[in-house]
Amino acid sequence: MSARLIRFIGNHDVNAEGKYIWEILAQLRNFGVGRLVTKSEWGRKWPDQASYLRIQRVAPSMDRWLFNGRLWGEWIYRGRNLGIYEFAHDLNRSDWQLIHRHDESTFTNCTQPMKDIKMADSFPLPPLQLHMCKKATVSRGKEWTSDQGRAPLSLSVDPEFSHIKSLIKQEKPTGHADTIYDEQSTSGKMALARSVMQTAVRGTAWWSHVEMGPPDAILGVTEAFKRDTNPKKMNLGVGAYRDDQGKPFVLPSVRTAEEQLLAGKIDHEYAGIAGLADFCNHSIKLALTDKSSALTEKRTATVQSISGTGALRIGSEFLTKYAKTKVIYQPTPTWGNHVPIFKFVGMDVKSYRYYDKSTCGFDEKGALADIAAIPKGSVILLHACAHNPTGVDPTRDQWKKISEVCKQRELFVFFDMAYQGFASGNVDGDAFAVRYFIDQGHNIILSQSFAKNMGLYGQRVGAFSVVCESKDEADRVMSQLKILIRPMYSNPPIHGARIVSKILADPALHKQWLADVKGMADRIISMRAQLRDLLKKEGSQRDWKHITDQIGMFCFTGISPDQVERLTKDHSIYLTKDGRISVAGISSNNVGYLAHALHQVTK
Amino acid sequence: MGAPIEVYQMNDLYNQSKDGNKVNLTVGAYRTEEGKPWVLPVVKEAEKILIDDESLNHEYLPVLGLDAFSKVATKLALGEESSAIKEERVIGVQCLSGTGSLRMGAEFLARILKLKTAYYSDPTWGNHDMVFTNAGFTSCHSYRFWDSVNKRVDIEGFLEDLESAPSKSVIILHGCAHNPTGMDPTKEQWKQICEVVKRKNLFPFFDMAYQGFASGDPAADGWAVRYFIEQGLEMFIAQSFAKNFGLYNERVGHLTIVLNDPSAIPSFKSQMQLIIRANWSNPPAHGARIVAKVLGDRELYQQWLQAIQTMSSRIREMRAALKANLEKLGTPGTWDHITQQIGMFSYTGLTRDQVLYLVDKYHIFMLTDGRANICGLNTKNVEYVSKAIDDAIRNVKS
Repeated sequence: MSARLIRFIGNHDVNAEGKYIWEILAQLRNFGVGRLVTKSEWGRKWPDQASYLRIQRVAPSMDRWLFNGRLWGEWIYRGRNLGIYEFAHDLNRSDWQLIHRHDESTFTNCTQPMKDIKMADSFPLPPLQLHMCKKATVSRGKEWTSDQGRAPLSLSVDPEFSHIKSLIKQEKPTGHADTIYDEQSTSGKMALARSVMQTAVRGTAWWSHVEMGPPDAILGVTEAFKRDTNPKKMNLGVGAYRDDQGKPFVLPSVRTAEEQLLAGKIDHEYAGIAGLADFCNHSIKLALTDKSSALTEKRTATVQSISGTGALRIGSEFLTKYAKTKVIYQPTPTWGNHVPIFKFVGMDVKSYRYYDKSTCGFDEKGALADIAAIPKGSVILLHACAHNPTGVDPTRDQWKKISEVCKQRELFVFFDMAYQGFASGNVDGDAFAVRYFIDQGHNIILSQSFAKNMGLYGQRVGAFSVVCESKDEADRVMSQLKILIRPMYSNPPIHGARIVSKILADPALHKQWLADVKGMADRIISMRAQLRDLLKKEGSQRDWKHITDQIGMFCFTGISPDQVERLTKDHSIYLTKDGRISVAGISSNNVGYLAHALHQVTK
Repeated sequence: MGAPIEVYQMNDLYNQSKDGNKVNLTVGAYRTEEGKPWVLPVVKEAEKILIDDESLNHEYLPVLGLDAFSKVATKLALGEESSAIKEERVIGVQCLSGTGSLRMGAEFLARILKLKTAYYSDPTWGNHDMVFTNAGFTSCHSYRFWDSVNKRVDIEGFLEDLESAPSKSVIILHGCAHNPTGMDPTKEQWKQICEVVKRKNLFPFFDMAYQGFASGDPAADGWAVRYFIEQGLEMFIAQSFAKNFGLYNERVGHLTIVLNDPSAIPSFKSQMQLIIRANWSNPPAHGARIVAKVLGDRELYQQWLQAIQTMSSRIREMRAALKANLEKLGTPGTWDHITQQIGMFSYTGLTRDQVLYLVDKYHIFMLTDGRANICGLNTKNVEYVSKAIDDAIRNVKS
């Protein structure tokens, strides 16, 4: 019951929604004797219990602003008739409303009027006093009864509630407890303030200890880039492929596959915990080829995953349950999310040397030495191709050496392959390490992502595989993987997997895709070559060979954090502090600008 | 070898069965009168619109998901007029369907708020326990819910168990169409439940997988959630769009968080982002785009309302038909609960032995706790199923 019109006549009482009482009554016949008025405040506090005044007699002061006067009325308060009251002080709040005659019966109808406030007529003595009384009574040889442990309770009613004093009743308490507070129920008493607590106590116990998490470094780069108004600005932090116009790229094979899928008969039924079987088969075939013993002997368990992250996540859960040691060794540096994923399940994350700052290349000696020192039976994470973030991959010979050491140390090898086909343009070349390790007898676990090589980033398509000793072991592993997945997300999203499956299964689409992915890889390779050339043309004396030696989306330029800052500040080129650039963010119309800027900060 | 999960196993048995009269009452998916899955026409239309939209690509969604989707999902759950939305004290996180939303919510509660105790109904969806346990809840209990003797909600037991729950326990409540019993508390009972939750300082976590699908009216199905919010409670709501949009395999879900103090929102979001980054980085785009398109377009929204009314009314018809058939056969026992229950499932009251009898003799597949998916019934098989149930009840000792 709130008035729609709020009359503001210089009164700053912002909670009031109505008129002054005399404003109302002065306009009525006989000053509204017999009429009903209510205060909006009552309606707000107790919307289900009618409160109003039936005017009996008035004595207005007839002052200029109709503020003052006295009136007497029968006060019905929350459905209870309190009798006739004089009102003289509450009248200068513009919170009053007239109840129209035709509304009277509905307004006054109260099905659940306020109940009497029940208070106890006695209270339990406090513990020490109780103890002393008992002791004294018993020592005098008298009998102690429980009602002797109580004292009469006299109430002191706050003037605010003096009008409902008659409704406060004292009676024998039904339950006894150690203190009066535990004996009293709050029912009815809370409602004295209002019928519903409008706001919970600020800073409730639930969220008060939620601290702000660390800021996301890459997001920070993108945000800063968006704010920059320089028309020549470049975003080299992005981890997604861009075409030569700097736009996101939907692969033609993907578009065709999607159109074909929509034209066909598809349903949206559950895919099963392991996802689309066709997708899983095609995916692992792409990684290993169907000639691999892992597939011919049917000893590989493959499940569809939520892209690369999801596959690593399943892997981390699997390892935490079944690996001998709960430690994983990751290269330094590695993808930013590798560490949190494994720490999330409580695994210990250690590292081995990988990147050589002095050569901007692979630290063969350091890596092999560190891997040789890893305790036997530990898990080691390897990037199959296009190492993220450095772009530095071991050569085939170096892979062979790594395989040897891993065998000697009996390490459990976990390959993360997020760029098959995208790295060199050749799916087989990029999968060399994975296939070699399997041929050498390692029973690897493999995470695959189709985010980059099919441009299906947001559709979250990936696969997680475990190569086992035998078909029997693979079946057992599969059953366990399902048990891990079900309480995570039950079953995976189908859309992207259907696209991938269609492309890999259909010879024409498959061929188209190989061309598409080679196109992307070639553009990146050509950008690398151009950048290196242009740097030379700029007159740079530095050795920029690593730009073309490195592979994949990212390039570790080797510049210092200071130089990174200057690139950003002076040239509006955005990249991460470690000097990593995303080659995907370079195009033919800004490679020159980049070369120039890079030379400026490094000469 | 890991233990097979019953619902998938029963479903597999159905698929392998060659019996011409076989009936699948297992997996919770809607079926038409012809026993076929149903792609909602409005979903097909939305998919066409999306594929023709040149501006759409496959780029990553933000970690917390598609904002347009979050907005419509929150509005659906809370109602457009919700004070929580108006006061901007709601957070929306796109997750992988209902399971993913429950899991992310549970991870947050366990890791960030350090809550360790959870309560779910007895019985409840088979996956609740594992989701919360794997998320880090060390102490999971049930509260009484199903009165199998009188085939109603055991409200007295429910309230008693809530009274004895330690403060700060997480209580998993089914927003509507309780899975597996199909029995929802009445409004009066919800009010009583709310009062205890408030007084005992328990954290309500609503699992709302059937909004709109249960009664055909999203507002009616969301009544309990909205009432709790009106009463000033803070909560998590896990929403699934698998059933009410028929988008089972696209994994469209949403975690709605209602808080009282908006200043907590930035920290909350930052912590939630870290959890999601370690699980799936960012959610799948396709399904969310469909839902955002449909719920965000007036025309399409109306079509969707019709679709959910179609589904929910067919289910009601089948419930009535099953009950009528059983009463006509004079099957021992009372069958009112079949039409009193709501949503996809019915707790028939059949025992494990009776269910296995149905599986073996009649090739009628359902879960051994007596849960049957009413969607698996149609006018052609309801009589067959009724006769089978009649046979099982009369001849198999319970």
